[in-house]
Amino acid sequence: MNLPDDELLELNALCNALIDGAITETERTRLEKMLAVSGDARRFYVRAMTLSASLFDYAGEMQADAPEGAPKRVVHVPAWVWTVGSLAAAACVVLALWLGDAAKRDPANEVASAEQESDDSVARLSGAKECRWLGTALSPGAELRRGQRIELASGFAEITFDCGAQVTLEGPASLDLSSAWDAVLRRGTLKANVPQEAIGFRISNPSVEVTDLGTEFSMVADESGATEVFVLKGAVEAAPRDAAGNAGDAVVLHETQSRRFAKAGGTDVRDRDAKLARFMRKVALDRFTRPANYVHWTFDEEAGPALAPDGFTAQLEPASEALSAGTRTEGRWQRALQLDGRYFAKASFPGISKRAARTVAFWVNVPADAPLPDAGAMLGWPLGSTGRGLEIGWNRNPLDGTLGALRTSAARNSLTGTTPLRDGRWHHLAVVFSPKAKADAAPQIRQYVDGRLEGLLTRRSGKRARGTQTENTDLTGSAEDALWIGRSLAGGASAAHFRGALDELFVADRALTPPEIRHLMTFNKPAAPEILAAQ
Amino acid sequence: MNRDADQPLDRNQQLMLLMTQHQRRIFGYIYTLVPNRTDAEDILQETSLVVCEKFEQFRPGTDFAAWACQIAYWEVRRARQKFARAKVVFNQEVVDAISETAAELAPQTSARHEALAKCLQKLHPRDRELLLTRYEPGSGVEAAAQRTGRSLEAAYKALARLRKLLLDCVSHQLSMEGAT
Repeated sequence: MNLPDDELLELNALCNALIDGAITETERTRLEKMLAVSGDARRFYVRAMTLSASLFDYAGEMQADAPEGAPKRVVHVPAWVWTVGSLAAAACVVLALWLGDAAKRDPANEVASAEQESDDSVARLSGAKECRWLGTALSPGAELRRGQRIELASGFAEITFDCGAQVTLEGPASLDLSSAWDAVLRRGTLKANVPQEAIGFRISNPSVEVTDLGTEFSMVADESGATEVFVLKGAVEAAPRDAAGNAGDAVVLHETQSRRFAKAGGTDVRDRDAKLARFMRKVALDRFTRPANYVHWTFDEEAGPALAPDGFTAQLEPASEALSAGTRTEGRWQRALQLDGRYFAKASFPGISKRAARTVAFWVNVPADAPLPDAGAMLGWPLGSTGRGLEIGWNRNPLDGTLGALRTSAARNSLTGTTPLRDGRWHHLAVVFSPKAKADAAPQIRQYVDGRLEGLLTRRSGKRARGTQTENTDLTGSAEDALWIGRSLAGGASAAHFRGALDELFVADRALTPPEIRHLMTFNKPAAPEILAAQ
Repeated sequence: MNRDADQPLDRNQQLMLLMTQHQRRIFGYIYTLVPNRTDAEDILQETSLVVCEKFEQFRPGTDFAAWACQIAYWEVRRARQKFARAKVVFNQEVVDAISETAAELAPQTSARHEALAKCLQKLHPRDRELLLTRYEPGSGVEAAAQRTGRSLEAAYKALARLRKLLLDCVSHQLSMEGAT
């Protein structure tokens, strides 16, 4: 800037007068003249005006409805709302997108139940090679439901179960999907690759029940029901079944061992070496990976925007001065956000309340002595515009499951995990939301703790069903598109706050697969499609 | 996160997404030419409608904000014809020169906006309150003066000082980031 000091001062005064609506006609003329003749003056002017435009934006974030006694927070008011409204008014845009009540009350479901729903997805078709299907063809990436039968006439199909186990079917083959953790091989050949997090995954048929102990194994079932089991890596536990379906004594098979199970009993496998060699061969599959957009808060900086690609952005604002100073602690990766049970943060997040698939993944450290009142949500956001919310926290009601386990509540449904988080250690949490086909159905929720799928669904009535757990359904404020960090949505000024530390928060705009979640946990960055394809 | 992951974005969703992403920059551009919040918002609204009508002409992969700012430029010209000088305070020659400068500085806009957030945090809370109250929707200098217990004159002076402070802080912040 090469303007002389006196001109700079004058220009600054004129810009301020213009911005504050206090400019006189003489001053306006003078400003116009300065802008006409000097490029430096114009640059100063443009920067000054752009700064004011930004200040309108930031000031719009001031929330007057901060709970009494709680720190004042800064929130984005999504200015685009009215623009979208105007577009809709001009009949240019069809806004048939979201804003569904994610969990309308269903009188038939007023009793608490602990069963997952039959239309839940338990796996997806993640890869294929020259597949020919019997019956309806499966499309790449298709979600596979509980109870679904996969009938492959020829070719190879890879199925990734929600627990993380990957099964490659070789046609002709038929597989029934019983749950995210088990399947029935009716006939044909499969190869299962089971990561550490999915130990316990099980494949059964009338002759044998094979429980994985962390391994890679193959099974071949013929039409008579006789089944050969080959262990390629690690170990499995194989329990033979008799004609009545009763399980006999289990045997543990180790690497390169094999066994044939038939109703008449167990025998050695013929041509074992040749068969093992065949199963060891890697089949080059076409893998299906949809692109995902991520928002990532590292919490390494005191404040600031998320690292986000174009088109998927959110901005974290410090909720209070105190939050911006001294609220960082040593994290799982560099520094983390430390919440002491009083402070919380909030980020404007256009579109977060809409009914759409998404995944949140983050590290959490809950003190071993965290008291029950400090079981406020780690994360929360509104669902649609209905005044209901979704919260991720830890369970403080022993009647709902393990005390201190990960708990996700979406309207009247809640999912409670099994690993107690209150141990003063870092745990990686990922919660995956998938909207159901039925517009008013609650989304399907999957929880991963340290990469392992866990959780039991509880559906509550609208009444306080059991214990003292608060119904986290009614929000204090409007259903704005905001992500709350460290505070429950319900309860107004008395809302429970979270005590503990959070680190490396990712939000993705689709349901991530178990390998993608493991990648985030291990490498702290999204998996590139080529890495997933090569796995 | 403006779409169902199973569905590719249709044209309308693309438009909404782009407008959401770039609205602040488009508003900033308009406000530079028409330095009055309400007037600038009116023109933004008119611009949004035209963007919507002409969206078929937008080539995906090109700079949406720059394309929308061109439309905004013509909306500013139209506003001058419609409202004489009520909205546009400078003559057309100066408006054109400012518009060119704004285009030249556009690549920095986003970084400056983000740097401003950091600079705001450095202000004394009392100053920050004055500033943000002044810029709240429906507020003004008078309301900000009242709420923060200042005289009107003191508020004008303080605002001028704070804006200059922030301008310098943002430039300093960017030069520091550029240096690392």
